[in-house]
Amino acid sequence: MEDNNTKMEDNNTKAAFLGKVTASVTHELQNVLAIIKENEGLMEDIILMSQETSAAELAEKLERSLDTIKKQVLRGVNRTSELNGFAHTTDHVKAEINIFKTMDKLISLTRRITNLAGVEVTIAENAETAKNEQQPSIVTDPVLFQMAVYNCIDWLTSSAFPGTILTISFQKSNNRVSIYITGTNDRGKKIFKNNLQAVAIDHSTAQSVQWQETCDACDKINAVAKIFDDNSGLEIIFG
Amino acid sequence: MNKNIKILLIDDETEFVSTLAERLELRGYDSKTAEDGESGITMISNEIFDIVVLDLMMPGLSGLETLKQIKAINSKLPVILLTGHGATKEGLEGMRLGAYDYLMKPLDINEFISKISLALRELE
Repeated sequence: MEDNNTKMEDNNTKAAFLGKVTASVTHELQNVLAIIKENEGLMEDIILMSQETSAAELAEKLERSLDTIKKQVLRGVNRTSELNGFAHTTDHVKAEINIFKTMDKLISLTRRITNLAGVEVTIAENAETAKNEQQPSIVTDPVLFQMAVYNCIDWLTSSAFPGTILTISFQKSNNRVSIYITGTNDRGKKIFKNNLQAVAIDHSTAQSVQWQETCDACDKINAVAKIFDDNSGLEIIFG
Repeated sequence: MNKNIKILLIDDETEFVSTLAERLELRGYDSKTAEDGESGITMISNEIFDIVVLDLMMPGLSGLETLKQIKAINSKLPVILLTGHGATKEGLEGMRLGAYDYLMKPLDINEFISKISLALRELE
């Protein structure tokens, strides 16, 4: 009975996470369609008014609209393909996942959410160059893994001052994999609105609810989130 | 005759607003664009507009926060909000804060223009 409850609870949190990411991406797709629709309308307008326009001007205006449509179609195709890949991560409850590729796609899919808070999330250059060498991987539940990492990003995003850049890097040694999320901005040491360690320890504050959820998500995949001593971010430790 | 009507379009999707502005220009409106709430508010402080079209989901200053600041500058300036599907809650909240109405993206240009006309007529 308790196992069933836990499973149901896991499924509910997974569904909420999938819903949040899907809502954000479909919102962006709506913008893509809105831009295509406006350009299609503009092309109609231009053709209707073509008698008042020179051939060169008409061609230039139509080409401009076509270029915008092409760009937006590509944006839409990329987002749809990422969303499709994300939806398929629910296919298996346990799989070997490539940390770099998974993080790269997760950041892309959730970019709109973090951008709305004025925060940029990026993968460290050294992690990117490592992508062709020994890529760290982990065997776990792919959805819960992404949810745990996203919860950490989301918590740091909501705690960060606008203009903050959250840089993700990772390290694998023996059976231990660490993902580091480090904040930087032009405010010097003032990256986050609150002292993360204090918020994490004091469970009575409103922000700590989000931290508690972050820790719970990490627990589900046997990971631990640990705030840096200098308060500049956190480390998620697997294994 | 629409040339005297000045419209400010505020949306971070720059290709969306620039195309919409061009379509409005073709219909004789005088339209300007801003890509975030902060620059939109600066423009409203420095220029007279007849109507503002404001996207609700923007980075930095949110649509609703921008709306509050616009209304603090000029409570009579009509504001039409743009939302995505499923964002009707924010649209209604915006109307509670003084927006004239809200429309969902993608827009229907005729519905959009008739909404602008209605908002301006009510002001007369």
